[in-house]
Amino acid sequence: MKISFLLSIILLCSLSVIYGQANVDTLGFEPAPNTAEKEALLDLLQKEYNKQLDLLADEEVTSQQRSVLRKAYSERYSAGKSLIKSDKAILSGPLYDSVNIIFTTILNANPELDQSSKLVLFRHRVFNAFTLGDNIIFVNIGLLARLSNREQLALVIAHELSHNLRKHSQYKILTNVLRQTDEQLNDEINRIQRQEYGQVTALNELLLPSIYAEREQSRQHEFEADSLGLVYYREAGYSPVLAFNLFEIMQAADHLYETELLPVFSLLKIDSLGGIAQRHKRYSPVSSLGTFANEEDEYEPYLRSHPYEAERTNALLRQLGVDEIDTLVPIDTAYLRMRYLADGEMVHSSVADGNFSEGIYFALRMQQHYPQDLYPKSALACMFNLLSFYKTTRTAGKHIELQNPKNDEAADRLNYLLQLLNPQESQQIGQTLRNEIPPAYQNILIELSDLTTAFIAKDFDSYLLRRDALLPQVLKTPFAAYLEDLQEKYYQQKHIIKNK
Amino acid sequence: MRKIKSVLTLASLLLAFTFHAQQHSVSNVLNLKSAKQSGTIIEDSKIVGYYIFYFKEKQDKKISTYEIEVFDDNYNSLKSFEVTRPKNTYMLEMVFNGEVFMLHFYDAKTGYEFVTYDRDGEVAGSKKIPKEELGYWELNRAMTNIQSATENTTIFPTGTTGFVRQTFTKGENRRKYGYEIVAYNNSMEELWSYGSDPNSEIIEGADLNDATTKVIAATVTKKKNISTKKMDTYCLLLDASTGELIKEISMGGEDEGKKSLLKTFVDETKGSILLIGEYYKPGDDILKDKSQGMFLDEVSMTGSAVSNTEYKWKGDVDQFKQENISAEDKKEADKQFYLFFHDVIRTSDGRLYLVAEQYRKQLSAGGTAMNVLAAAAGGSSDASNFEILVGNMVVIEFDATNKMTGYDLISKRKTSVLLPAGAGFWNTAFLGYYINSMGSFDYAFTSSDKKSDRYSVVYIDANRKEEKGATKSDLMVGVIQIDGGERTNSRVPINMESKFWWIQAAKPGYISVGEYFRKEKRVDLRLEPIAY
Repeated sequence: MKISFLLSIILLCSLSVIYGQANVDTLGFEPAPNTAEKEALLDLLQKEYNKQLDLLADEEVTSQQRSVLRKAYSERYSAGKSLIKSDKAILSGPLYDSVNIIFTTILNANPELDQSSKLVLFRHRVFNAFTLGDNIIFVNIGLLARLSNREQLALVIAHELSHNLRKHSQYKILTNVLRQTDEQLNDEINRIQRQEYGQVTALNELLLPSIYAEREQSRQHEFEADSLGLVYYREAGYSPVLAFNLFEIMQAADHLYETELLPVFSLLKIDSLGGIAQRHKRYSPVSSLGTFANEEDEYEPYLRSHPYEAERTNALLRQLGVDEIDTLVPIDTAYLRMRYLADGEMVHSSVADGNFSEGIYFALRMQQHYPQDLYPKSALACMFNLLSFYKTTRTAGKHIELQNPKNDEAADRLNYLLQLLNPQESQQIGQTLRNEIPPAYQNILIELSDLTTAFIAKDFDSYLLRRDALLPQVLKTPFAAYLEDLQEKYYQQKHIIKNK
Repeated sequence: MRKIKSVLTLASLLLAFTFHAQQHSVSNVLNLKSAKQSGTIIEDSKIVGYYIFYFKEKQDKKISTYEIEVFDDNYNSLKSFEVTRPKNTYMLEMVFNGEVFMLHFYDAKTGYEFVTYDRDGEVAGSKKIPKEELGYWELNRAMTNIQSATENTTIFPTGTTGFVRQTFTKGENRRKYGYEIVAYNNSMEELWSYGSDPNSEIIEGADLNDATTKVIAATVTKKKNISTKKMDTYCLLLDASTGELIKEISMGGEDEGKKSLLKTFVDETKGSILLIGEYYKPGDDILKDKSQGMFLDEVSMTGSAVSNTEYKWKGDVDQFKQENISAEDKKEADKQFYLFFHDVIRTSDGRLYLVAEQYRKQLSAGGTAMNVLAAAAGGSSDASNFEILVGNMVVIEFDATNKMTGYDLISKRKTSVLLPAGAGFWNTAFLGYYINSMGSFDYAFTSSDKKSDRYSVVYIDANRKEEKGATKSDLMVGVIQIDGGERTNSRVPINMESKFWWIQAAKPGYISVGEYFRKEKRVDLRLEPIAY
């Protein structure tokens, strides 16, 4: 059966229709709460860790290997704990619930999978899902914001659960331990480190073969997880046809920013601010030193931990017994809501991290797609007001990216604009956006925006009142850092020496 | 003039730059040293990038592998290429002409090697100069530059097709030297050379000022022997294509009065060259006596005099009354300050701005106290009884017809520079050059963008309070901004998170702020606008 792909044109068309449908379900985003259910997950993690240690007692390994293994498990346990405990872990809320439905559907349809497996959404911009091998699957928000239907997500989840079942993480740990405790290898490394010349070359020659082998094994594990994942995916009732452009999306996701037109000036209403457009015309996408040819890395194919997307697609096609897949992918209206929530989380994550380049980019995109939504507008108002403050203190460089010729042009132009705005212009933009938000709509970003406005206006009475009101809810969030920055400057302005 | 300071070394760096979003962070920095193995890439007076040259591994007894990494003005890594060199190689200078990089290497055993690399990292050409051919003064300069934090300026690009370099000639002995200016194409083939007369009895040195595709301008100094401070100055003009002498313009002598040459502007559009500096009365000397005023001499591209304008300090300059100066500055107005000129800026409309800093020699309470205490204890101290007081910034303005239109004091907190024992007997003029070489003036750098006609002069203000009674910022920089011919002054507080920080020049309109976090072993670099 000859089936051919309908490529990104379909996806783009779908997207333009999707985002044109602003409806009540896409208004009033709120970030998922950072509460609850972490204890249950931490317990699971602890149990997995204890289980590993118990199993270790019976393993036929040397005492040195046992010691190194114990340390590796401990490090994995600590890594897992810190991921779960961080503010970035999402364990509840509508987005989590929606993804969890897919997660449990796959689990329930496949009894051989560990039914105690749990899902965590993670506030990170990168397109990724991962597992540490202890039955907890992490899915990044950056991945959710790029997909277009539930089938693609199901395939990703099935893939990660397969990794867990096949104990690929465990395999990696054991391989590392064997390498670390290989006496012959260690003797050779020590000998090389003692030699005066050619250390790097000799170490490369010694270690590269095993690194290549390890990466080859990693790629095989990926093929295995793809293959097994497809089985579990189909068992759960999902159609392979609807998920097959997943790998194309994955490949495109190498760029953090998507290539799309962003009418920045009209979204920010900058046209009313004279002079900015003129200054912005000086933008050039070319680096100050021009372009340099960079050689293709001949070792890159051997050092990849994952196969090329085309290879993975072909392997799955062979598994399905077809040459190509050609079908019209319908719009997944349920995923529209999920994507909207993921878009909102991307904005929230960026603002919380203090990365205003990303935050403003994602907020503008969200505003473009959901023009009625007040959340991106409040995020933009907050960020531009804070940017105004940071520009006066000459610390805006910590929050805005510099131009990079490797960036998508829309994002690069935005960074150029953010660099050239002066504090007053930045504040004007913030205030214009703030004034469009009705008084009834309140969130922490609005509060921060108003607080900053009061500070910039040197209305310190109002600033102090707002700060005291805001303090309790902000203190335990990443936004506390903004309050600290304002407060530091307040001490300076009021000539107060802070007691340390 | 304080030159641009180097970027940090990566001698102890294990990983290359990793770019985390808005700031550029360098991880695994175990130690922080400042060395000459990094610097800025300059094009037409503008910083357009950075380079880092770091050690990778020893290949054998004689050869080591190094890595050169090139960054654009936004700290984006553009290119990295491996270089194999004799071990203990130093890179003294790296210059980019838009097409190739010219690298100047020095090895204590073998001498100099100049190598050009194209944009692909491939060697375009090379030239070796054995150590035996270098001579004492050239080797001395190499060693001094290795230890210094300032950038070298012995190589200038001539358009995109080559470079020109200045060197000391070998000389018969240490008490004599001459100069040579050599031009190369991008493949390091020598095109021409011009130098002082090898048979001359006098000592001649040259400093390149400007190089275009048509004209090379240099300042030549001539003196009778090594130890004398008395010297004559000339403006040397050479044809950039052939190396032929256009003219060696005398900057005066004992009888008619000498002139010191601060800056040369080659204006190819107008077909003229502008020479700017200070003039002295007959019998006075540049490194010994106070100048009488400023001069602006315009010459044609063939070196013929076109016009000459002079402004006396007393009578011409002092007519520009300082009305809006502080009470402290009013009190000090009668005390004689010398001016040390850091830079000359010429805007597209032909206006000139001379940037200087006040200084004078005075008795040092601290130095005297140290000497008294040391003497009482039966010993001696290294301090002089004199110090240099560094005063306000000064900007002198001229219109397009070279008519003086302004003389402004820009107040900043005065600072004292302690002098070593014996230095108090040096004359004030010479002390200005001395403390400048020590980096003791507050002037930091001038950021230039000729295309946008925008210039920013940055200096450090020791008064770190934004206003009276305020708490101190970590750093207060003063900015003299010249934008399209309009000048504004401002003070910019900059605050840091880390206790270990530094600033350096960056792309036009920006200042680079670096912070080292020792516990995290991380260096953060960011760019902040100097003025909005």
